[in-house]
Amino acid sequence: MRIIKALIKKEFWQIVRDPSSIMIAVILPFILISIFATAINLDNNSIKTGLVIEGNRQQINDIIASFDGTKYLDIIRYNSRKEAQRDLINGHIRAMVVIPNNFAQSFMAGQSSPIQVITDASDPNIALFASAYIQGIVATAQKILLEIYGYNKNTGISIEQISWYNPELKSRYFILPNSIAIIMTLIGMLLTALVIAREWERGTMEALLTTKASKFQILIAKYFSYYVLAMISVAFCTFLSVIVFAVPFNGSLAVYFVSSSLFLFVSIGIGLTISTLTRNQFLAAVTAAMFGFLPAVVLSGGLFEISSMPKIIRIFTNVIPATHFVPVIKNLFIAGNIWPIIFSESLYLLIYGLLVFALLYHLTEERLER
Amino acid sequence: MSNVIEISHLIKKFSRPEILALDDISLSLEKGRVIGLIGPDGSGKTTLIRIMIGLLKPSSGKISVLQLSPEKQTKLLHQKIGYMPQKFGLYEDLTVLENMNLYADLQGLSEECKKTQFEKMLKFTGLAPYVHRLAGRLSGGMKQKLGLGCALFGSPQVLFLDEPSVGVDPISRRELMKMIYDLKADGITVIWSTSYLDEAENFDDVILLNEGKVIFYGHPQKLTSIVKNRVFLTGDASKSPRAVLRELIKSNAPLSDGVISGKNVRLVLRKNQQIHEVKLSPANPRFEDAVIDILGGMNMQVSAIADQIQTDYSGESVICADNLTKKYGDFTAANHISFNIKKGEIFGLLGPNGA
Repeated sequence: MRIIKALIKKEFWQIVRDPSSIMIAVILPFILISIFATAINLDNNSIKTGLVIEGNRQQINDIIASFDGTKYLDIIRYNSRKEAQRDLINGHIRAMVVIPNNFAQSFMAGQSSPIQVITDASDPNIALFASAYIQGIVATAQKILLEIYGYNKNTGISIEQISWYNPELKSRYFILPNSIAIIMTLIGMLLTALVIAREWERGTMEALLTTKASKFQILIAKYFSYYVLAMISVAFCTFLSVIVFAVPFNGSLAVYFVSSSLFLFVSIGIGLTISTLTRNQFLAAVTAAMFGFLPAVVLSGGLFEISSMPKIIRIFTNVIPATHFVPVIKNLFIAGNIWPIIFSESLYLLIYGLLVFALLYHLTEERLER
Repeated sequence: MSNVIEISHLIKKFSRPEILALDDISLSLEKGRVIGLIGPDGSGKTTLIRIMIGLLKPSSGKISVLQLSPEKQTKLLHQKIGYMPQKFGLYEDLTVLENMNLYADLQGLSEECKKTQFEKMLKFTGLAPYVHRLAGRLSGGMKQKLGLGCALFGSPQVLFLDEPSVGVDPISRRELMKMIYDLKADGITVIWSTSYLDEAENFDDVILLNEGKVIFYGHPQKLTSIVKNRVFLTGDASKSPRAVLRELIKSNAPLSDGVISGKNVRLVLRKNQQIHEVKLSPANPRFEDAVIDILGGMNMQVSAIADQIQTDYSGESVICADNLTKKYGDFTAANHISFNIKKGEIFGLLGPNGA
């Protein structure tokens, strides 16, 4: 225990004195989160949206007024569904809303009344925002209408949403939780990929191997130190996302803590394994970026939908730890504790992490040669 | 048994590229001696030390250190030895004191033990004023003293030092050597590797390695004595020493070594050979002479280039420094230095670390 404590102390001094680890742990997350968050805000204004009203205008004036009043959508009126569809295909508009012929009638009759929303999901983020705004507008309009026409338990506007080009739109929700997963990969994998290689390059490993410290103790000290650093970064990112950028957090903090820990357990293990195999900082950094960080960004399902990937790549995505963390963190923020996902993914990460540790332990030599 | 290290028929091969690093080595090293492991670069010194402390495995042969097998009882052995690797093995981004604490903890020293050992070590190394300085900011000599101090935590019975004097100025080198002899009084056995032959005469015993083989093992004077009566000085007031040496080589004189020494030429004759061309005055044999001789002597040839190169230098300066001063913040690194280096000169810059 004393040896592990001494080694952890050493790791902390090294982290504190190395400006690059502070950069990666605090400044980089700040920049990334800010970029992701403001990118969302930039998309806020004036998404060109077509509005097609097929029925009697008089009765639904309030809805139309709500659409016209929004500053988020740039409403263009069309006389027919066909014209609007043509412009959507051409890319002149990003989304279209169709209020059908019988809408007013069924609404007045207290029946469920559908409105159709079609979005161009080839740019999924914009599509996502457009549909979210439309939903908001409709909800406001519905409230007004119900106040005017009275409540009826069946009354209500239902939105029939169609996302063109990419039907999986809904699963790709807020981007900030994903970026937290990416930042965690960055610290867990990229930073740790350097640390064992550094000891080899500087010759400190040779000195370390002739002390009482066992390889188990050396590894545990590295896992723990970088785990703490990454968790500080996670706390910082979460604070930024929730407090500064007002992303909702609906899950339990305890679950968040446990699942983040498991994810880091795997990531740090992979980083240290890369470091052990290469024994060279430059090679380790490039390897970690190519095989650790980039796949985590591209293939984890955070930015691009896994179900739309070819089967062979879909199978490959399972190797990436972020693939099994993104669904959990996304749900924790947006939906709350979804236990089946939390259990299955956490179990996966735990087993994965243990396997990586076993491999790392096996690869770590107590001699200079392999 | 008074032998701390027993080695028999030790062979070490490396693959990719295939190198026979140690070729059938057998040695018995006595307890309580300062043993110099000497030899040219690439002769296998580091490999031998690393095998002795279990960082490398022998390809074949037997080895025991303190009656332990470095290969199988590695951790047990590490508790009884101290090791200072060739590369500075301490953390440059930790302070002197933090490094000391780390290594003391890693050697399992108790808190009281730590206190007394730290006091002793700081007194011994003279590092007390620098305890809060980052190890990376220490001079070469101070780094080595810190490395040595840390290697001594846990009171080792055998101390392995791999080229501790590289990059260390002569003053610090002497201090290091003195520390080692202080340790010897405590009964520690020291293995010190070096490629500086002028250090060898300080050792109780030397092991001379060449191409993975032990060429000599014993007291350094015993090795020096093999060139007894074969070392001479010669000179000719009318000629440069370089010209004297060149003529001797051209006349195929039986030389094992010939070096210019001030205005004279220092010659080592081959065994049972004489020369009559020049007047010789006997000189004291040096350890270095014996090592060169036992390694087969220098390849005494006249340089083809030296014959062609123009040697008449008109005295024009190629580098002129006039009142050169360099400051780093408040620290003056170079203070009003002036010199001229003329064409064809070999100009030496001497001084201790940080001079």
